[in-house]
Amino acid sequence: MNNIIIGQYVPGNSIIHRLDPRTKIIVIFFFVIFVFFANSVASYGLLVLFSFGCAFATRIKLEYIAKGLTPVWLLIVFTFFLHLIMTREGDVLFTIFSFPIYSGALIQGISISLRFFLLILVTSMLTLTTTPIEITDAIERLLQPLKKIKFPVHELALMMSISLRFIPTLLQETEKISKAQASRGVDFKSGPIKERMQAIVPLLVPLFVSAFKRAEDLAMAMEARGYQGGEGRTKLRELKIESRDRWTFLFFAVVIFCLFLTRA
Amino acid sequence: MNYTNSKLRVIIICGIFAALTAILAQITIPIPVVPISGQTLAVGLTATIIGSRYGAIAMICYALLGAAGVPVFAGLKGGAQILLGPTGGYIFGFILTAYVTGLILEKTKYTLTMAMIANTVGMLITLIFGAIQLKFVLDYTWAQAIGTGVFPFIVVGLIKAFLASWLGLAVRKRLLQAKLLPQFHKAA
Repeated sequence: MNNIIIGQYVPGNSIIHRLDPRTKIIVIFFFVIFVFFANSVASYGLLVLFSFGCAFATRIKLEYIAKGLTPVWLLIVFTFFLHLIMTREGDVLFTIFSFPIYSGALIQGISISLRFFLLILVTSMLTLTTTPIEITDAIERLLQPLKKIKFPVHELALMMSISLRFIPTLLQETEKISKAQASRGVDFKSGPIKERMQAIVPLLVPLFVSAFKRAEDLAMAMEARGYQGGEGRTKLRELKIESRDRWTFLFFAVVIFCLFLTRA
Repeated sequence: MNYTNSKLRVIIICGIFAALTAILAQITIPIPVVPISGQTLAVGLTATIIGSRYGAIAMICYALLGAAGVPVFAGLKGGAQILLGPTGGYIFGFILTAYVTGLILEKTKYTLTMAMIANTVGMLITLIFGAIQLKFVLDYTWAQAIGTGVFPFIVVGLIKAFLASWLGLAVRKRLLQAKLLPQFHKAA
């Protein structure tokens, strides 16, 4: 919880780390779409090769990546068996306890769980190699065109930065308040349900009061420093598309082209 | 662009409520049999306190923070893979949930009955969104999706809806007494 701001980011200097965050977001966005086009052994093999290639290129230990995927393993296995049991297509391969398993079911079970695994693996690459601040910057830049239809892109990015800034502060505040109330005799952990529910009120009220006060302080501080909104503001960190980003796009386009060649 | 200070305050409040949601999502209220995660509770509280529009904006911000990889979702999870994964629909559902819950309360009265209705409707919206994404990501049939994604959570959901209404009204009352809310609404 203490390194919530860093999130799942693993510092490093690999080629994937050094890519512009926008490149990574765009490639992953299209990967998520194109993964649904795979329908043959060769096309799935290509996507597996690409995903594991990316994972190796990050130079993050594979065990660490796998650890991040633990919560979804169970769902992948569950989905596999659900499709195995429920699908009734193709020939009967064998029967377990007089329950027929169809060949179509096996194929569908494997392809859906594999597709799902690839989706999770590739999308987790983004957060493993990019800091949340970088991603926020990239989102602001990528959504820039939406400004034309009056979508508040800058405001949304500012809101996200403020949130990021306040998570640790409010977290400390929550701990402080719960200790302060415990020392006054508020008991969160025992007693009848009604009393336990009532015990949450003296925790929440000061938390929300302080949140509103902090908002007011921050607004005044920003106004005092002449904050005028997004128009004409310069950036501390400029994002730049470099040659490695162009090569990545080219490579990804080739992969997608091959994907369509290998489709059944 | 004329930048009024009220707009800045709205941005900051929405950002802070997204942060509060992230924190409450990590807290579990220890009630026997059904421990209640603060995530859905926070959605109801946000909608009751800052209203439909800003509540929805705060939830958009919360979802985007999660997408950017900050572990803001329950169980310290984060990343686009959670949003695109089978359980991501619940988080998208929060946006409409906050809006509808807030709207029902704004159009009627801030009483326990109305809050209970608003939060129950909100809970159903969250569950339906969750089931829809569950169906499409895992290729379930509608019956399977509703069986695994909606029915098991209805009873717990009702308890949560009651808790969110009751706490939301209690906190709102105190904030009104402390004259913190009228300032915000006037500014907004």
